[in-house]
Amino acid sequence: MPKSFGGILRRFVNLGLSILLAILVGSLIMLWYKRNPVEIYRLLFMSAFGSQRALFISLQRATPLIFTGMASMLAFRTGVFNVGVEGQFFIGAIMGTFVGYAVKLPMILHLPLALLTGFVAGAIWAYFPTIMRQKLGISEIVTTIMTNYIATYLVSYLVNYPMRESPTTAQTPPVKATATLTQFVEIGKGALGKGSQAHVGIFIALAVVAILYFIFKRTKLGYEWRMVGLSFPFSQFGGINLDRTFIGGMLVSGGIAGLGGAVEILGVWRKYKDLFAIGFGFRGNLAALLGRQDVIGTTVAALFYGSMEAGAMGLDWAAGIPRQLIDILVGLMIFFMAAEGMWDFLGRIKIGAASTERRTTGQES
Amino acid sequence: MRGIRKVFPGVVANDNVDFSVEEGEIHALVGENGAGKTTLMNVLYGLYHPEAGSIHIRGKPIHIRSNSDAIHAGIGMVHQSFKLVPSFTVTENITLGAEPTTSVFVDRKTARDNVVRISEQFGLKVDPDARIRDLPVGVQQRVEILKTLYRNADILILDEPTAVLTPQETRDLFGVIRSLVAGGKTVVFITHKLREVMEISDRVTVMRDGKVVGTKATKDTNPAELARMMVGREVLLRVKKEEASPKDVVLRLDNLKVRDDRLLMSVRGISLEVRAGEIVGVAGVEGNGQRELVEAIVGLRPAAAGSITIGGKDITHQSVRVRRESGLACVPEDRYVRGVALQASLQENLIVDSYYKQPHCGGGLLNLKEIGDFSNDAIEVFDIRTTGKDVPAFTLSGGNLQKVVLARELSSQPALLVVAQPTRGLDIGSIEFMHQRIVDARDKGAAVLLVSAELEEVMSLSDRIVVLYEGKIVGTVEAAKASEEGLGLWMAGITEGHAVPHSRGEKEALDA
Amino acid sequence: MDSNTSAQLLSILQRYVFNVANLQGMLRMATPVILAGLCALITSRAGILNIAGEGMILFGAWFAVAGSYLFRNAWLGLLAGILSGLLVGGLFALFSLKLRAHIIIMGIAINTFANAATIFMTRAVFKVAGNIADPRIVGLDPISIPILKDIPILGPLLSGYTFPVYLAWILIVVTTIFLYRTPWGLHLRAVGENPQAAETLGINVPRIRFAAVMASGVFASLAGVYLSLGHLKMYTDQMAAGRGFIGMAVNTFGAGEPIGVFLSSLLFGFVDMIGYRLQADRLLPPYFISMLPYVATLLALTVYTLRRRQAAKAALQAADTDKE
Repeated sequence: MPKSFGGILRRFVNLGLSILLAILVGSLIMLWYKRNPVEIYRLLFMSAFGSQRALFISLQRATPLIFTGMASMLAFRTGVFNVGVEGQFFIGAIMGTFVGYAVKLPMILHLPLALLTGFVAGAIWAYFPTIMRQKLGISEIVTTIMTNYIATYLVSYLVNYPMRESPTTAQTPPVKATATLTQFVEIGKGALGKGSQAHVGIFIALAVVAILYFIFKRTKLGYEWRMVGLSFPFSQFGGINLDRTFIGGMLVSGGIAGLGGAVEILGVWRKYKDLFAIGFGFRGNLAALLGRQDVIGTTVAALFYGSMEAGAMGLDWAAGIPRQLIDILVGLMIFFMAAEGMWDFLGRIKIGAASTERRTTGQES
Repeated sequence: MRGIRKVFPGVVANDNVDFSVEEGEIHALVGENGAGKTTLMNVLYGLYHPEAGSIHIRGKPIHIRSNSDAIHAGIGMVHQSFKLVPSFTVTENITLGAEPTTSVFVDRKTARDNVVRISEQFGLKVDPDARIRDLPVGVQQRVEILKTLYRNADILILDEPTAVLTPQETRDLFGVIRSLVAGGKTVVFITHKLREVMEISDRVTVMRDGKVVGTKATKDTNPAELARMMVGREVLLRVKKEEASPKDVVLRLDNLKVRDDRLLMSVRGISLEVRAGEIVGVAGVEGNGQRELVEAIVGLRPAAAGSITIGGKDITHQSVRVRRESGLACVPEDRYVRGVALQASLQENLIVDSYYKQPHCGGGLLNLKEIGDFSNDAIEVFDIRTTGKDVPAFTLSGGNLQKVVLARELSSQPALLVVAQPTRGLDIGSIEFMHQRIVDARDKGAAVLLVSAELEEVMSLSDRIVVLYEGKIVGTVEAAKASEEGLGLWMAGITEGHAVPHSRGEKEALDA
Repeated sequence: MDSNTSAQLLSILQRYVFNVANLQGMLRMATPVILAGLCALITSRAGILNIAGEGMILFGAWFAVAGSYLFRNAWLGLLAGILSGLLVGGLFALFSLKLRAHIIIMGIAINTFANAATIFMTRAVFKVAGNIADPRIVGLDPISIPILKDIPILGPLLSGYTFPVYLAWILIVVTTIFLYRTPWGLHLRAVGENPQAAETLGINVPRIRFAAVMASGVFASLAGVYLSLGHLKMYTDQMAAGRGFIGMAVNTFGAGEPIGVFLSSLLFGFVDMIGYRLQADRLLPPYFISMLPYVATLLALTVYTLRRRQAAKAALQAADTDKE
């Protein structure tokens, strides 16, 4: 990754100021509720980090976001705006659930199979918009959003009809114990993670992060993904197989999202309940944008976002402020971060030797 | 223009420039690429704001803040790359921004009548209803000139107008310029082609490195003196090279046909051989199939018919990577789009053709140490001016980026080196460097295919020259026996006394 | 085909196609799509990639309901919706054109922000969740056009819709005239095709782009107004249901021409309407109806692109044989 000290410093300041601005706007919203912003923010933080229980809840909520964040980041870096992570997540979740309750196997086979099914299902779901872009040049933004809606309704159909457990409840049968991811509270005497549903899926998430980090830093696959994302024409000229790289990247992205869906079911819910999963994908998109599309940044953003979600839920119960507040704040942060022009005044501060625009002048005669 | 100073990040493009033009003259503004000529004229036309300096027209100072101000002041500019809207008609393009109106609607009849009127008045024949995308380049240029005349320009600035014209079209253009001047207009003519300066201009100003070196009456000077002023030293007009001793055929094209982006057949049956140890130069005005030819050879564009063979292996339908593995290397025309990835680091740019194999890669893992050493070596050997191998490519200048491309492409010891427009936009030092390296590659046994719109470059570097016209090779000649006149005729499609059948557009352009 | 089969075929056609109620439904369902399509069109013609249509529709729908509730007046609700469109459009333009935010990121951010903000505001202002349905909301009344409604057969098809439906048709015509017959329209197209051409002739390119984005905001918000006030008189979370993106697709089929957008939207409205019919007749399982618009969009995009490619290839092969 090209380094320039001035560039990195500038990014941090940009991030910090964006957060500050978002907090400011958030305060205005809280004033509308006639609450003291400082008090509310304190409450927010306490709900997110203030106790062992809170920490575990934050972890629980962050887990699926790490998956969808990684999926989004991978796609974005390969040059595709995969906003279909939402749908890929659902499909992975429902397919993982299906394998979870329909198949009878010892755990050592059952659990990996269910997870693998989630991955493959997500990858397959990502395949259609990918092929449409690669072979027909159709923008993936429209097609992936379409697949999101289709996924939502398809899953609702499956849950309400073929996979329905009983006539009274709109949910699937519970997954068998051999396919569950242990929750921390289920380990030992239940002292760990009490009051939350945090589960060992977090380790799978972190493993995915580690793998992606390694891929991008040291493997030829990572190089291909990176180059294709930075410049299609250059990569093609250099001999990189665009189709394979591009499609592979998208499939893995969809797969990671699907895996995330399966993990969420097998760890937290242990059955698929209609409409439980709205928003995981989009928040993953936002986390990737917040994290500037690099591996560590996105992971941190996902952890941050997840804990803020936990905090916002606590806020909702305690103070009645809708939990969407946090989505609004994150949205604002992204606006401010993305608007480069806002931070032009920073350029006056002499930071290091890096001059970020040093265009060739050979063209001007 | 007095005391003009224009600064871009990292470079002073115009340094205290004084420039003046007399009414009714043809004034040539010359200099190498990067000298500051276009910048100066862009300041005059309101595209750039100078940091310092003043502009006076007929003794009165004027303040130019935008194109509109310049147009009001009677200045018109025809740029190197035409600023035309492809789907609009000639009339719509000429009247754009100044359309006659009746209430809220455009008055198309009046617009058309106006266009016909000035077209006849100045002797620039155009079809007012034709769409720009259907017109050949020479006619498009006429539309550009009419745009300025429509807005009552008294001072016309032409920026490298002959870059896209054949020698014959250039002569037509000169005729137009002379008649415009006879009609009271003033013309500033930016070029780096000294023969044109001698032929058409009354006075000439030379710029170098952002400063004015001097202004002379054309009849009092000569190309050699001008060249010296442009460069500041004796110019090597011919590259020093040994006699070629070609060996086996490396590249063979057999009746190759290729379509362009509009799916028209742009390469219409080319058969060509390039041997190891020789440089074959492809001359021709841009737009006669050169781009598609190179892309087809590299593998970026499919061949519609015919075959391409490298080293005896038919690679007509093979991928880019297979071709590179067979010994192909290429310095592409589109440096910033194809040749480098501007956002990636220098190192990443250097390994795109080698990252997947030994020694840069082992078992799927990149060998970062090997790659690092390779990059540092390349920077040293090619004298690439940069602060390190990890900086993003966009921080480098054009000449240095071209060196990066060269370093990468030559590092594979290619059997076939295809070079397209290698020195476009480069300063004289980089040009000499590139030319030398190309000859070195040849001497090391590579077969070199040089495609260039700069006739002098083709003539000085090649051992053998072919001329491309409308997708076919219309002539072949040993470089030593070639003449500019003869090549120019071929470039215009005239071979052995009878004309090659023109497409309709070309014919119109020549008849007008 | 025997007489029995042809009788069956005829009755199917009558039931699903040549049926006044169905065609009316088609026209109604096409309306928000037409407006979303215009939103995409005006910006794409100016060379701007605008994916924020979805968010702009949401805000338009919400503020229209809020305005109607507040003032007990549907027209003021309409105005509120339009103003929100101008505001969001303006902010979008400010951030992505002037402050150099990546336009796709901005689009994604606006859509997600709009979703979250409307849910939040529904709870914060109306103290309900999910729907805002209140007798105090005044919807737009159907307009009965005096002479038209009496034309046999066509009458009911042309009269009796609410204002936004007619507005959509009018805007199609206005946009066409604007693009091809007025100076500003020509300037906008020039900016979209070759901004340098426009710039060197003194046209204010940034201003045109800004105006295009704000106009797209207005179009999108009108789609939202129709959704909430023009038909159902209520606001639902995520009411736009992807129409912003379907609008983009419709603009593609329509090749950037208003009349093309209109026809493609009709087609879309037809498919939508058929879906409801089929559901009512229990010919399709429930959730599949809802999927229909989206599947249809994907299929249509695919077919359209494939056919364009085939046509281009055929045409050029013909031209080739001429030239040789």
